[in-house]
Amino acid sequence: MGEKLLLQVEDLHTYFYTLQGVIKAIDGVNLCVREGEILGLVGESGCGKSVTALSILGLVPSPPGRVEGGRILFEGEDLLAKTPAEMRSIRGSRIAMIFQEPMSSLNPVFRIGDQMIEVIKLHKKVSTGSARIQALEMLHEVRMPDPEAVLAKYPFQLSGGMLQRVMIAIALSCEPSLLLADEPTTALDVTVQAQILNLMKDLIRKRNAAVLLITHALGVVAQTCDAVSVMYAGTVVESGSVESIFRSPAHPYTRGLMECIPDPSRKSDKLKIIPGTVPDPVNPPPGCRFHPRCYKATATCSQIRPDPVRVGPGHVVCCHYPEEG
Amino acid sequence: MTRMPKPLLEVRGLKKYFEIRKGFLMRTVGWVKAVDGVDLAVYPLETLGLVGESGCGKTTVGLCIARLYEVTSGKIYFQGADLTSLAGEKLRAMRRNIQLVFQDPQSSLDPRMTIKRSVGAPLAIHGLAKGRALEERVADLLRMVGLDPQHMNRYPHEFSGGQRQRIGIARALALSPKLLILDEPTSALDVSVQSQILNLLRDLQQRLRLSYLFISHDLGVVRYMSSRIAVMYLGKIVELAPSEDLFCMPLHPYTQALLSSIPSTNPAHRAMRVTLEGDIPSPANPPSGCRFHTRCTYARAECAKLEPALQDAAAGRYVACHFPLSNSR
Repeated sequence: MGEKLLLQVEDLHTYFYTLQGVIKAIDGVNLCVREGEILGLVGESGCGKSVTALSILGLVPSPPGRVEGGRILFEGEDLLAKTPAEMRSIRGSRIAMIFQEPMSSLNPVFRIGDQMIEVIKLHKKVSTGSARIQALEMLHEVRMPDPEAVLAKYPFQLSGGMLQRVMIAIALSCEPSLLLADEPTTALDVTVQAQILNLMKDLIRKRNAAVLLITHALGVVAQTCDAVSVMYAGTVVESGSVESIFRSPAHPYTRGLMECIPDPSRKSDKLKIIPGTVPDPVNPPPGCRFHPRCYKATATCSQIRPDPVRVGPGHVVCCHYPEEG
Repeated sequence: MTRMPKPLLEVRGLKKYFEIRKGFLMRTVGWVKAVDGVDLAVYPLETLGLVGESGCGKTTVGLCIARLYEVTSGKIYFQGADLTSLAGEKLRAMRRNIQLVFQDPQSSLDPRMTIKRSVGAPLAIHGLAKGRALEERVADLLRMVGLDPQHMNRYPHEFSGGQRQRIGIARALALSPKLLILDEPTSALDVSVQSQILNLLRDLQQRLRLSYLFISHDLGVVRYMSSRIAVMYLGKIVELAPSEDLFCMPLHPYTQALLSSIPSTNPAHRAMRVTLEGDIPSPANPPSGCRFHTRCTYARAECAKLEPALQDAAAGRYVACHFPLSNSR
């Protein structure tokens, strides 16, 4: 794993202007992904993790959405300064993506082969024949049984797990240096999820590519990632290496999240809960956004937004009273 | 376990086949064997967990028990009475005892009904209360699930996902049932809300002396909720055991694979995973013999020929495997 920064997101703000008011979906997000690293971005629904990915890709639906501030540096270039045409040539080749629902990311009326060949031809400027050979090689690599037959099939003829393999094959066919994977295994069964995660990890390591893995499942992060950033209500509340975050979560939200999941590996008596629900993004609470649900909140928490504090090597938390140990 | 009271619910040889129709005349060309011979029992005050991957038939079992599907064959006894032979008024009276909570509260509540009407509907249908009495009962039910009764004139869209699931639970409790069939009740919820609902369900079970059939694909949730667990694969139960035994020492290779597929939240446990190859076969054309043999690491020649029956493996455990796992493996 290199120490060189591949992607750096600084103080990103993405707002949606709706009739109900301004939704501050992302309100000051900082992230960095090193070369060859798998970074997990975790949080509950509505915390802004998918909007972060869309902002990086320049795919925020506009209107109503707009990136209002911040910088997104990818291999030293600011993506926010790129024209739509420049972004189109970056997406799919240098930054690839996989989404949650493989069924809805593929066009139902075209064969798998045609859709794979289209992407390869678009970014690599090769003939249809050699694009087809490359597509076959990629299907082999994602361990697809009978790749030749799969090329001629339509998406509805494949299972969810097989379709996700096709998506990975397409995403990696242009040798991207960064892969954005938004809940890639959420729609799959656990046994298939394990296969897909292992496959993704193998292929990524082989290519020395980096991944931003967006998920709500802490187990997936613990098994797959090198580093984690935890999001809550449009902000990153904690980030660090997988080992240090899972060993000693410093933000009360991270700790609460870990404690409220029933652990399949042991018998638990009573589950801990995080009281309340995720705040309304139009009127987020002042100060620390987690303070209405936090057991140790004080007057300071409801007034002053906490700055990042370093609690260990590479382990940063935004909390006035970080947990210890 | 010495506890052997009469089961509240007993299912014997339950089968549910769906027709596959094709062509202009819609001729039947085959059958999807969604549930193919399931036996299980739910004892008073216990939670029986039913786990399996999507398409294994766990939801169909729940819907058959509630008689929302006509069974193809088999018997369902509730307190000794056969539900499959009931009809009309008798069926309706029996249904009071068995209620359902569904996965997605968004689609199981009518968006154009106030929650007072939704929660009160079972009472109105069964003619148990109306007017002021109905309103009071609805208020009680809402309080019971932790909602403010003042909100009873609101519509479902005004509530969050977790609150909507509480409304679904209140509606299921309206008729004071003895058995709740909970079909993935927390799968659509965020983890911080999931734990609130799971704790609520455990409290309600104690307070109202309920029995649960808890259907889920999430093994952590099932372990937390259940006293016993049945594992389903392709329309059949492959293993049934008290939950601690099942997790500590699975006897069926499928159970073992399922347990090791769960991503552990401990980053140190990365290496110990046994992953399954391939996908679940189609229930329209299940493999011969043991249905799991195509994906089983321990399969031998006879597994493809002979279908194993669910057999007593002592200590309240049952397993359907020719070569069950043991301590030695």
